Amino acid sequence: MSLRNGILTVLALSLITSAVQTVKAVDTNTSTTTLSLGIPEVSLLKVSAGVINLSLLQRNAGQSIETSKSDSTTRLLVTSVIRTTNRTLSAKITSGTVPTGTLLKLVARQPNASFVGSATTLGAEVTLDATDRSIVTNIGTCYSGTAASDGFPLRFTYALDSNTATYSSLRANSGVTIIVTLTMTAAQ
Amino acid sequence: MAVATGDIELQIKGVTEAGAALTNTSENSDTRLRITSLAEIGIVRLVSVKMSRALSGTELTVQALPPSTTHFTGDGGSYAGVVTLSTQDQVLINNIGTCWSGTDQNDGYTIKYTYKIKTIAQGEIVNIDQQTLETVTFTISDAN
Repeated sequence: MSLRNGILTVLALSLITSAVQTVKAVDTNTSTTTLSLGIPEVSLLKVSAGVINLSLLQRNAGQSIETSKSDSTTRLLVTSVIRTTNRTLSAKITSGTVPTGTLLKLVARQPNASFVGSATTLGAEVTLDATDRSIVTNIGTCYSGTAASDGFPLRFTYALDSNTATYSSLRANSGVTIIVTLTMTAAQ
Repeated sequence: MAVATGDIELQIKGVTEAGAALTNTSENSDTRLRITSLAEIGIVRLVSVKMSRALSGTELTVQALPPSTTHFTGDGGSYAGVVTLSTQDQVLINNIGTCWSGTDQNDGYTIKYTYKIKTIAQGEIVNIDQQTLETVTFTISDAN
């Protein structure tokens, strides 16, 4: 190698080293990236049943009509994703009037094994009227499943008022339609 | 090593049917991880990955996939598959030798992120992060 070539070689190597150092000044052996991760709040309810018929029928002479009739076929399907505050499920009558001398009651039962997520707190049986009555509390992030037997079983009970003084006010009717509206606390 | 893309947004969509599980996932494969490695003979390197904070109720996975361009030159190693991110470094790419990825727009390993709801057990109380910014760190180091 001539001296001239030697100098050229050294120059070339020097340039390459310089280039590598320039790259290293920007990039290193670690690198980061920022991810924005998000999930929307979800609050969904659906009742699985159609119209429920509850009639208090006659019994033997000398007895009152049936004192109560219950139906537990309704399932309430739920999907909930909360941010921080648990939700409450409430029920009220939004159309129709329960006949005088009778009561319409509601209680939610434990859902089946399809229910996933936060355990909830089931309330005691409530007598329905036009005011929201809490039937399930502490609903967190959960879902009930969507099959026919999934969801909270809802037991509606149509009963005579325990106050016998109201018995005389009972009147025959061919069917009074009552609409019960169930509401879960909205996203907050 | 350098991440060649900007911030990534992963938003899990809700559901519209009451009773349904949130099984939707959000994926993004826009990120490219560029690399230049000059390894001595007998030395192999690995790329590890971790995140800044443990997630609650959700799961973020990352997977290295082959580059989408043909500029990658040399021994780029082998892919470790899907890695569920945690605050501890986990191997993402193994056995990296001497290689470089190129520096054009889509050069580099393709990095695929998947964000989803964690599997929830019956009765498990889950607090889900609704919106969060997380930092993912990639590190290249000698494997031996």
